Amino acid sequence: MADSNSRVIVITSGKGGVGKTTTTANIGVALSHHLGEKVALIDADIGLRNLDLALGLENRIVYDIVDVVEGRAKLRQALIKSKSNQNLALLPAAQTRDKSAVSPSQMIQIIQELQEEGYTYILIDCPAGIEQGFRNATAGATEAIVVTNPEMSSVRDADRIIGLLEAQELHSPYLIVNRLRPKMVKQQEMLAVEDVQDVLGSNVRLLGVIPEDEVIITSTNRGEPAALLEGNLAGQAYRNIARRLKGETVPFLNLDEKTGFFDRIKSIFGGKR
Amino acid sequence: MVCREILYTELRYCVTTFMGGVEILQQVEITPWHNGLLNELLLTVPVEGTWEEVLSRVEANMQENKSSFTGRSPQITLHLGTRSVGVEDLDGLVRQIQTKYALLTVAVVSTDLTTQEAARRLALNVYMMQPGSALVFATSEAEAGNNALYLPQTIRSGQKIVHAGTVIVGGDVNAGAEVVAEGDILVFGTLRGLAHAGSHGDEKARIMAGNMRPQQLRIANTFAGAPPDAPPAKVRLTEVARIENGKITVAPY
Repeated sequence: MADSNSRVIVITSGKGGVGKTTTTANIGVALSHHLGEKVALIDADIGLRNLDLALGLENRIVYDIVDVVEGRAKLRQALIKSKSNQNLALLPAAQTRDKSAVSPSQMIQIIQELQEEGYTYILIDCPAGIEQGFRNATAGATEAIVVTNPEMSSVRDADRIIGLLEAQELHSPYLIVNRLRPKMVKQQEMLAVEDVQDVLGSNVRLLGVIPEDEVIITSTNRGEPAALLEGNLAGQAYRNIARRLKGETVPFLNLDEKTGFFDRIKSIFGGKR
Repeated sequence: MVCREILYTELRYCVTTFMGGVEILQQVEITPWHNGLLNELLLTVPVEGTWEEVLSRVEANMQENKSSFTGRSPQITLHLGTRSVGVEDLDGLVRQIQTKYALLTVAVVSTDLTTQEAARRLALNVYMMQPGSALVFATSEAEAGNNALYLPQTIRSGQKIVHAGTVIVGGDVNAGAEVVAEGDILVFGTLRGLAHAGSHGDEKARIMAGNMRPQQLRIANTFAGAPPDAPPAKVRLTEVARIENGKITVAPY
């Protein structure tokens, strides 16, 4: 890539509905809002636009990625800056076209332009599946985050995706286990994080574990990513992920404490694990 | 695609050399070979040079050999060696050969992960070894041992390894992955996917795994599903599967 100072990370999963878009929005917010990075988010899910909703930017879209590719708009015109945070910008997907409207080489070109604009983190929200959309989303990326839920079908798809990423020279991807229910793990009704890691192998690097939380749904609906909510465990997990992504060593949240919800919150504020 | 798939399961490749990157191919070559059922062509592409150079050399060579492409839509296998070819590039070459010379590309020979994945996406068969010109089978155990294919990595969901000899996997074989070998299959890690040993009818073939957790085992023409009462996955089961009295039995190693 042209500018070695910026990181281009694709967020992918293979299976749909595991939380790629929510994860992209939350990491983007945490990196820009809490850590002061200049972040560009690319919604590569052309035809099934979602990332704008998760960020609450759906009313402000004028141009999209296909307009940029086809020359109807400049990249700068299509980028939507977050109201609350000038460090965060979104390049929305087109809703009326499909994946073939953009090619991998055009994607690489867009990423290079964003790097020239000085964005330090470029996060690409990959569509579900392993077809053209996946190829587009991974084309310009130099790192990958694989999101999975602790259930077999999701882990198998993640495994498939890791194989495809390796074939594209994207080795040792990061792993996020999303929607974990500690109680169910304890009762052996859900895969534990260790089980997921066991299947996917030692060369995937665990970046974080997000507990199942209804707040995620309400905050996504409202367009305010949970990472903005102080005192929310899932939001805390996303903020920790952003810090780990920057290279900090942050201990993993203890999700399976016997204590009640309020005690857990207190312990987070107290700095204890 | 379906008939192509069926056809190829019937084929046997002779085992001459294992090309693990040691063989360096200089020229674009087109050679006829008999795949066991019918005559085919084999296009060998050199490992050196840019992809553009390859395309132009293929073009030149094709023009030269045009007259020998006889028969009704002859089939061709591309031998790409250790070269890394992306799906767009490979698709381009396949189309070029199809539209200009009416040759149907059916398979790719490659040891490169990227190339193999690209070929799979284009619904082509993937082979790791160069197909031979005549059918030669191992006559002794010593010879058969030389045909072993060692894969140091984990075989992941969606990846399929087909090999004419024994396959040794240094990592795991995950659920959704397939390993098909004419000889034995040895998995040092956990076998979770599908393993088919003795794929051309060798009932003496065995499947060994450091942790035997398969979805299904196949040896020669026999198959067996996973038992419903397997102990929890954390208990490591080093086991061997073989055919006894016409059934696949799994026993501790």
